[in-house]
Amino acid sequence: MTHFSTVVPAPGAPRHSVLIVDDDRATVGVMAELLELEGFEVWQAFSAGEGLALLAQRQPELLLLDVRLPDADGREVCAALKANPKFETLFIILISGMEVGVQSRVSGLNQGADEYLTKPIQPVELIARLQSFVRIREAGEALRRSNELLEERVLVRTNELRLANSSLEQATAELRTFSRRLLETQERERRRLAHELHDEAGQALTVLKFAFDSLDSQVKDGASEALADGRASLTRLTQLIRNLWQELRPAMLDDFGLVPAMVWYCQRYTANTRVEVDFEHEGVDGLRFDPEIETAVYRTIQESLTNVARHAKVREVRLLLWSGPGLLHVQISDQGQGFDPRAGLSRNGSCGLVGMQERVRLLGGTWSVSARPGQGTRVIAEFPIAEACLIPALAQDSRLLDTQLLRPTDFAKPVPA
Amino acid sequence: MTRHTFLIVDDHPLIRRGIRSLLQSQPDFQVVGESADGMTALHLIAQHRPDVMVLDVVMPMLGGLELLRELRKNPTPNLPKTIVLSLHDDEAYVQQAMQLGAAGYVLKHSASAGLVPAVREVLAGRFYSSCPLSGKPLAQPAPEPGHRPVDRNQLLTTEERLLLQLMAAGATEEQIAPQLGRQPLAIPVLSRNIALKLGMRELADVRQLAAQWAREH
Repeated sequence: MTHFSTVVPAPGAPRHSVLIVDDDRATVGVMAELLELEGFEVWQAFSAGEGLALLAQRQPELLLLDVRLPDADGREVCAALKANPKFETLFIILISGMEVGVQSRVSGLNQGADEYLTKPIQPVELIARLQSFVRIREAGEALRRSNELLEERVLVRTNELRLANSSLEQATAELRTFSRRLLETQERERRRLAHELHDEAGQALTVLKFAFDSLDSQVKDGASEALADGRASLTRLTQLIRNLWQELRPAMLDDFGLVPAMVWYCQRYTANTRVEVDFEHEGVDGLRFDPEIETAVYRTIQESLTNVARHAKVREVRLLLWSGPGLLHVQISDQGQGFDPRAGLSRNGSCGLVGMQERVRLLGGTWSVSARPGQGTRVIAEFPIAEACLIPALAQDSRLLDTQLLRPTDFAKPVPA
Repeated sequence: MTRHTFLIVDDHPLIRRGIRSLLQSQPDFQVVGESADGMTALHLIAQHRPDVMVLDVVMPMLGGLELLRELRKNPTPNLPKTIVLSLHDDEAYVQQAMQLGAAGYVLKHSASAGLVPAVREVLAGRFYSSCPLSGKPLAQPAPEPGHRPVDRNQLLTTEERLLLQLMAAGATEEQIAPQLGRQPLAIPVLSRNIALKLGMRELADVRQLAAQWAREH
């Protein structure tokens, strides 16, 4: 007898099971012996009834089913079994005598049989067929297992991702809050410093100026040179302090609103940079907006104009300020060198564009820059404004007393009687 | 000789002393009171009826400009003519002070030379400012820069222009969204923004405009 490679499963794994249903007891006996040798667990039945009874109790993986049974047609049994979801995975091999024609085999296969063998059965062929079944079954099994494993992993990863996502969201929210606080604190500190420089240092310098002016009339010629040096120093210092407080926080913005503050800023800008500003505005003059928005608009323009002076290499820049119902629009554009916005936004150390964007977004606004190397740059910021944010400048009269900022001096002296 | 009486209002004692000595250098000037804040100043005005008040802008309690507002609210006869002392040299501050009824505006650091001439001008009934007003008289203020109607098309962002182009080409919101790197839900929001800028009420108008806009550009 030809030697067949064994189908005995690895130790510990269950053996493959076969049910043989045939009324020819001799054939059943031979086949059972052969299959047991090959490592199968074998059950035997000699009629369709017996076979079905066994199938109800055990769950063989393989069924060798004779077509011509005393109590039924094997093909019909096959069709019935295949129709039952319980036997979905049962591998059925129909067996018939030589006298059965091709037509009958085809009809058997059409009834759902997985294989078809004819008697007399060659042991070689039977074993080969069964081995092929075992390989298919095991490959399927392995596929199912790795599928399960994969699904399990996907589940684990999905959970990990969900966790990572939610902590990322939390971190983003925290970062937002943090940068908002940072901006607020920065603006508050600037305002405080500006007031301090204006109210305290500014007044002290005025006193010094008075002192110098009154000395002038009293002093003799010999000391006048030293006096002139001191006076020159004082003038420089005064100018320095003035510039500092104005740059920190332009009083014009708080006192008169956006348009006067921008006119003032643009004049200074042109004087310092020799870049002319073509300033157009509509629907903004004479109106006051939420102070946070006014600050953001001012800083956006300041930052953009500074960028233009530094990088654009132009003589002129356009500034456009417009407000309509619900919207305040700021636009700064030039015809200069331009740049690659992606590089500009991601470049290390270039906090300018990112900072601008963040400032606008924190107020619920949108910010965009369109630029291309050699084709100029356009920065647009838009802020949603509630109607309540609009305060006609005329209404200031009544609110000034209430909204006046407390200054350091407010706390230094007792309230006069 | 007619004597003119003065009230000095400044929270800084040394500055008050400086102003006092400037004014006292004139034989016909007499300082009748000093105050460190606007509240006290109101009482002193009622009490002494000074001819001229020299007023600091920034003070605790009641600042200079607020004091002027208070005086305007309850006008009484014989209010003092006010000369505002300030550190701000911008025209807007001068105009604001003038609108609030100040008769003169003097920068603090030019007070030594400028205060007495200012007082003389003001006593003669003329407005005086030591702050250079870009060489232009106050009666004809410079034309407001840029105060002209804005071309609304300029207000559209690159993204909004692209949206209009795609709309004009007949694309649906679902087709437009990925091209703009947006969710389909964002398209109506963008469209509303366009409508807002161009002064339209209905989103349908935006679609109509898109078609027209595409023909023109």
